[in-house]
Amino acid sequence: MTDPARRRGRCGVLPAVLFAALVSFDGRLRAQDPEPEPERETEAPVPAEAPAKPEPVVAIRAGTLHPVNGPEIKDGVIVIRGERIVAVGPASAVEIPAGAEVLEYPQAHAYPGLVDPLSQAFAPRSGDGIADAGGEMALALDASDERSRALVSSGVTTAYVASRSANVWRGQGVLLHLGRDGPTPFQGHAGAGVHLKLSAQDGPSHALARIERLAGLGTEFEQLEAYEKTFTEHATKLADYEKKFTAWIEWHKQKNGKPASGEAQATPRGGAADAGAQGAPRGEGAPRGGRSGRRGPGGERPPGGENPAPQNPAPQNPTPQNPTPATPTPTNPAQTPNPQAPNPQAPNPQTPAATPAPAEEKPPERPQYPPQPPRDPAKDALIALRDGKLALFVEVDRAEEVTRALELARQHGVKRLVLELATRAADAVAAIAEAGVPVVVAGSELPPIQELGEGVERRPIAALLAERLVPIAIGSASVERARHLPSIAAEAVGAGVPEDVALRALTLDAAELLGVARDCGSLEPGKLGDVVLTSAPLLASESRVLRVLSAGRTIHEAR
Amino acid sequence: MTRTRLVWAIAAAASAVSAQDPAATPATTVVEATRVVLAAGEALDGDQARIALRDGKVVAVGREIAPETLARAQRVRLPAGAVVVPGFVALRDQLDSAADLAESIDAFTPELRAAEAFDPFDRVLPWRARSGVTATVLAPNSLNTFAGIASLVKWDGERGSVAAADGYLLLALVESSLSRERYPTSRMGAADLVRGAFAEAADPLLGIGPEYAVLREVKDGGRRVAIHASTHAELTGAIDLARELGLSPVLLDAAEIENCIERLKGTSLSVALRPLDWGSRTAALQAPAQLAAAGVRFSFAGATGHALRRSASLACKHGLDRRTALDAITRVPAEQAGFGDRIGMLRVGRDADFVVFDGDPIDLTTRLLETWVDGRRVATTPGTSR
Repeated sequence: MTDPARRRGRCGVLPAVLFAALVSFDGRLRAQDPEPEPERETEAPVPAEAPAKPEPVVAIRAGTLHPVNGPEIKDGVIVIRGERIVAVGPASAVEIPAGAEVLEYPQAHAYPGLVDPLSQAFAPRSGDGIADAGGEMALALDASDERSRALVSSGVTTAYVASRSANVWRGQGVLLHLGRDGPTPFQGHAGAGVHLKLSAQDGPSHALARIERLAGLGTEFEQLEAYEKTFTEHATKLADYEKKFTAWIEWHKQKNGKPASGEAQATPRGGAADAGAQGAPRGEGAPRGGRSGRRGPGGERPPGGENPAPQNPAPQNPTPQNPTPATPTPTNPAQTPNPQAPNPQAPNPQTPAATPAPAEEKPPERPQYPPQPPRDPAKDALIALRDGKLALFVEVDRAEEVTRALELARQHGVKRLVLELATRAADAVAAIAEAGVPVVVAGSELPPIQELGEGVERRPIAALLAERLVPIAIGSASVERARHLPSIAAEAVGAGVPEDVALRALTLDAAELLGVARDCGSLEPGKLGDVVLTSAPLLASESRVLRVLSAGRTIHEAR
Repeated sequence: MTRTRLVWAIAAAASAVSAQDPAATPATTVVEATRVVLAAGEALDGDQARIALRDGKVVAVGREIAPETLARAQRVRLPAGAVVVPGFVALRDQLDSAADLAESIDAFTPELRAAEAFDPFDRVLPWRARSGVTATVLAPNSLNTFAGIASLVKWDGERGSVAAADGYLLLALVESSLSRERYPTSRMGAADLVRGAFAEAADPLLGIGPEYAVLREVKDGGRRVAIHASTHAELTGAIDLARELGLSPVLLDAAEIENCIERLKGTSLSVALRPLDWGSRTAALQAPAQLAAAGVRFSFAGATGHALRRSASLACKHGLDRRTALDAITRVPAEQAGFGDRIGMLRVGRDADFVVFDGDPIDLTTRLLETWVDGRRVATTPGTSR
């Protein structure tokens, strides 16, 4: 109760929660990315005292280990040093380090922390209002302790939360790791995917309305070319500006014999560094950065570098984590005074005192800094989809919608597609399997009986997909259901999903689909110490969660 | 006289010949499994795990099956690991006929029979069988206080039929039974109506007509009565009425029973709980184990096998033992419906209604393989055929 993070969570002070999540998070929860992003590692530095303290070591000895990525291990041991697993194996083969805290559960079963890819646990109760691809669920979270405890008590340690509004575009979801201090975003995974809703339960259901909606989506992707072109052109203009500015400086140097004070280190405002980043909106960090990215280096720039001139607005670089210039630049513009900015120590080269050029030679015209085209987070998100930085999650219901989603992804080059629900899409299973698209299901419920006629497929979509070896993940889809995630998976097994597939659907397959399999989803050395101990096999009726560890720390213990 | 004797002798001889001819006798089927659960807590394993069926009834089980019967019978060997359990009983269902199962304008219609609204080709009923429900109690809709008489219906694989028209009388105290258009408009009005109706039924001058005859059957113990009461207030009212009128009702769809358990201890009342689901309150999830500990008989009033199994499994997760859980979806609802002598257990002389699983049905991971009603296989789960 005295934990300040918890107090903030209860009060629902979202900015504080997000700040704590993004800033105080120590950066050690490094998640899997499609491409390594070393810059992100430096975002949240490890606290200075961390290396000085010896990392705590916890050893869990359980009757049966279920690593998920391999066969079960009788009388097994998991050793966790700090936050990460360092050893997994039979007790006879794994040495428990001296001084380790040993948790003895001789009758229990140990599993990796469960991953809920369809969580609604921290979604705001009053709706999130996200209506485009650029909106971020991370900014609308309601991270209450009560919900976190409910999830953790059922063994969930990773939850992916996205908007479930009736809008077609539902913005970007947020991946949360549930720890002792409540939910915190996975490092580098503020948004694992962009969400699109093609199912029509509570949206327009008429065929013409659906066609119109799909046509609109296609147009949005088609507009990307023009959008990117503005940045390419801007980059060209910046390069031209830099060239002309250098010539302008050189002219004044030659006339004066030496550059005027303050001009010696002057470089074109913005410079090619900006040109490189802005000219490539698909560039690293542009999609991920989202709104946070829009604070840009302008926020990091010294006040003197800001240019208040309205005709020459300060460049907004959406890639704060990636200052690497695409083209060579003389110096970092952020560290150089802007020649157009008012600077008492730097005489303006346009003033007669600062530019004593000979009257007979006309000075070159000073180049004007090209205004930066405005960024559009929604379009940046679509670019990220096309480039595989983010996955496209599409909620579908019927086979027709599955077909549309597959077409959309194919036509517009979306590299990572994930389908959600697909409850009535039995006829599209072959197409899904052929496309190799994973599916997040909410269990094994069939459509209403009234919709099921004779001769209609009677097995749930989860079983049909599993039969075709399509990777599935099982999500809760509601706060209440999250408490029963293992039972929901057990029911899927009863409906025809093989037991090992169901277990993977709760753990490793869900983690892979979300792009965090490097950190969670199985009991493997190197992964986070997320462990669930149960009284019986996870999917058995009497199975109760005895203890849950998140990143090596106990966050739930049955009374 | 002599001639008459001769006719009888010929008839008897013909009968004897007929009895020895297997083709002329009704076919006996012997179903063999890895395990046959006759009733919760009572099972046959290994070589004894078999039941003999004839004419839709169980005729012998286990070692009672004579070798000659075994030799002549049609034998059905179920897959290895198959477990036969009594068919599930849905204590309250409207199938696809909800609108035809209520006469809401009149609050007092105890003589109406749900059987008269039954559609043999109801499109929902086959799905009930496919989910493991072998006997469905078609109950009146709770849109008036004296809703009517429930009936037992089954599906034979091709069409439905009424197995028994006279089931329990349904009284409703839930909000849906009240109406602004007629009396009673409130719960206290409903209690007054029930009280007054039973008083009139006992009066030889006033209690004339089929509706009062039904009430007298209830009062005399000849017919079971169920009171639809969900909330704590409705349940309390139902318990009070039962005590006042000397009735032993089933409290049907009891969602908020947790605060009434103490009052039910030692009474003849029983409970049919609202099915447990992923969204059930923690108190509701814990209630089955508490009822069992208090010695109160209870069942789950689910309509589908999925709902019944989910309820039983979630109850086990919250402390209920498996035997009581299986009882709560087989034997107890059969008894509460008034058909305990026909369904709910696999006993000689009872209906041959059973479900085949590949394990314990209380485990949700277990797959339903087949459903048998009245000795006939009526449903096979796709992908599990032998």
